[in-house]
Formats: sequence, structure tokens, C-alpha cells
Amino acid sequence: MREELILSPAEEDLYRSHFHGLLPGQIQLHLGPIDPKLPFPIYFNLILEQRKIIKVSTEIGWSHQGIEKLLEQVSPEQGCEIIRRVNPLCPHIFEHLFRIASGLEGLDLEILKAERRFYYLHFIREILKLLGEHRLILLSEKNFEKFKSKFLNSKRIQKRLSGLGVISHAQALSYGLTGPSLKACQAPYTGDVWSRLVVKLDEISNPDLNTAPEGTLIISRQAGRVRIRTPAFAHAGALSVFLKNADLNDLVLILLSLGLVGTEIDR
Amino acid sequence: MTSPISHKLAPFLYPEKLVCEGPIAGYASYAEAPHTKTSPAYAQASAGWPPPYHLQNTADFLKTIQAQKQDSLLDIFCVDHESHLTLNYLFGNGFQLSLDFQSDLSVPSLTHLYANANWLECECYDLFGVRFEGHPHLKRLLLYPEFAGHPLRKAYPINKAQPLIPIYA
Repeated sequence: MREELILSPAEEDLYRSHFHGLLPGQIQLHLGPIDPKLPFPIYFNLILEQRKIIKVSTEIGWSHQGIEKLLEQVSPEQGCEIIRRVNPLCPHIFEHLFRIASGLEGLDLEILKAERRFYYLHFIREILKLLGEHRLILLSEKNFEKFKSKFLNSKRIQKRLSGLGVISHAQALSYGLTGPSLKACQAPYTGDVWSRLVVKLDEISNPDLNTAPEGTLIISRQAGRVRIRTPAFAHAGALSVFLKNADLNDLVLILLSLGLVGTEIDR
Repeated sequence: MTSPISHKLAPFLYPEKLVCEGPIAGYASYAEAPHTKTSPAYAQASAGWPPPYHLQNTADFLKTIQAQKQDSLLDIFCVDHESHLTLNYLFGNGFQLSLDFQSDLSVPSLTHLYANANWLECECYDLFGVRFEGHPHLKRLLLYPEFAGHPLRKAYPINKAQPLIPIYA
């Protein structure tokens, strides 16, 4: 090969980045839609500098089930069975809201409290699994109060999770966020992963379903049209804010702290 | 012997049975039953929501939204009335606004006011074919680019074939 055709490493980097429309030193990473690291199917097109995420574009729709179209075709009693598929980890809250909006009797609030406790603890345990805190996971199954105090007093976990995936209150309102993520943006919390988990643990201890903001479900009766507004869809739209300037190592931690489920985003 | 579980799964196993002519028995009785609208559950669900603000002019629509100065936009959803489409906007403290328009006309985008309007408008375009003027990048959100038609329109048949999906006879 002729010598002038061989580029130096610096020149080659410049050539490659120019080819993909990137600045020198930046690389492009395609993550997903199916990846063993990701908790559910979602596609990220990331632009990185070293391991720092500069720009994110997200694509959803990998687990779209067409539930809104299906619900147009069936009676409300059949619809209660179908709407549980929106989120297999917390099926009853969607069924409860669908029942109320259809004029049927709602479910028992004790079921919803237990379900929310399981849902929040599931994602906290997944985060602890990534951090290697297996003793705390075992403790969470045996004694919740002891687990909560040990978790909140653990300086190591707090140091690891503070400052990740921060969103301001104004941004959270503009993206239509609800639930623990919105509550964690207000004082005394700081809007990061750690404050989201603290809010969730507080909600498990003090379950007050009437004041807690949850997803909204609206049914337009005359037209025979069903609309499911899920909180996960709003959170997935704000992922570009959550992930901006984050480390690539923290991407899965941030996703788990939001409690996202792929079927709930896509419906 | 048919188990109750297979009966529950029937809408998934036999989707062609869902397409029927005329009103479905369960649905019709539900719509006419007087007890549903007077039940406490229904009253609880509908209480606290002011009636929607109806508009038919896009200029009035933008003026009303800018005058309202709402913190957050919760939802945008579309309804197909066959003769026209209706866009419903739901804001943070329960203010609702609906806009009637012909399906071949475009609607002003709210992306410059609310960040989440971006994906919500993409979803309306994807499922209903609503075109939003001033949207930075209107694309299919849930379905793939080769998908033909807009599936939540009333005219879209539930068993329509798509170009990339093979038909097994």
C-alpha cells in the first residue's frame, strides 16, 4: 500500500467523525432495541465523548400492542382483561382506572397499595442488584422497616446515586411528568436518582392513594374511542433530559429509577 | 373442554371474531343502561373536571392557549368522528380544550410552548394522520416508517394487511 494513503490515527479519527457528522473526539453508539443490559426493548442513538453522553435520540414502539384499537371493539367487561396488558408489573391500577371510567365498580384500594409497594420495591431491588448490595435485597424481603433505615443511612449508595439523571422542576412540568419523579424535583429533594428512590420509599411507608398523582385515563364515550395516558410515555419523552451529560455506566440506573416498562410506553 | 382462561384470551386468539356488523351486545347494553351514569363511581370520576372548551378556528385556538398560561400539558388525544377529527388538549389543572377540524387540514403545533407536545403530536400523526404546522420533526413514533395508513382512523379495517408483514394462508 502506498504510504500517503495511510492516515495517522488523528487524521483517521477526524475522517471518521466527519463521515458521521460528529465533532472530533466524539463517537456514535447504537444501543438496543434488544440488549442484555437494557431492562426493556428501547433504542438509543447516543453521541459520546469518552463515556459522557452528549446527545440522545430515543426510538420507541418495539412492544406496541395496539390496545387502544382493541378496546374499541369489545365491551368494558372484556376491556378489563385487555387493559391489564398495558403494564404486566402493575396491572390492577390500569384496570381500576378503566373500571371507574367505564362506570363499573373500582377495585379494592388495599390491592393497589400492595401492588404499588411491589412495583417500587422491584425497581429498587434491580438497582441494588447492579450495585452489588445483595444483603440489602435479602433484608428487603424480610423486614421492610429495617431495610429502609439501612438503605437511607448507607453513605455508599447515596454517594453513588446522587447527582445522576437530574431534572429541574420547570423541565419536569414542561415534560408532563407525574408521580414520584415530579415530587422528587421539589424541595427538599434535588431531582436525581437518589431523591426519586427516597420519595418512593416514603410513599410505601405512608400510602396515601388519594393525594398521590398517578396516570390519567380518559374515555370518550360517544365516539367509542379509548385513550390511555400512561406516565411512562411522558418519562420516555424526557429521557433526552435525564440522560444528558450522564456517564454511559449510569444509563441503566437512570432508566430503572424512573420505573419504566416498555409495554406501558407503547401500549 | 374449554377453560375460563381460554375464554378470556378469545379476543387475542381469534381477532377476526371482533369485527362484527352493528353494535356489540355488551357494548350496547352498557351505553343504554341508566345505572351506569348515576353510579357513585361514575360521579366520582367525572367530578372536578370542567366541561371542555370547544373551538373550531385555529387562530382562536392559539390565542386561547397563550392566554391560559398553563404550567403543563398533560395529554393530547384525537377522536375520529368520520365527518371530522377532534383534537383534545388536557392541561395540568384540569383545563380541557377541544378543536374540531377537517382531516385534510393542518393544526398549529404547541412544541414551542410545551416540551412533551413533541411526542404527543408525533403520536397523533402516527395513529390519525394529523399534520401539525411548525413541528420540528414529525415522524412515526410507535409504528415503523413503511406502515401504510393510520390505524386509529375509523375507516382503517382491523385486519388490513401491511407491506412488510407476510400473509400466511
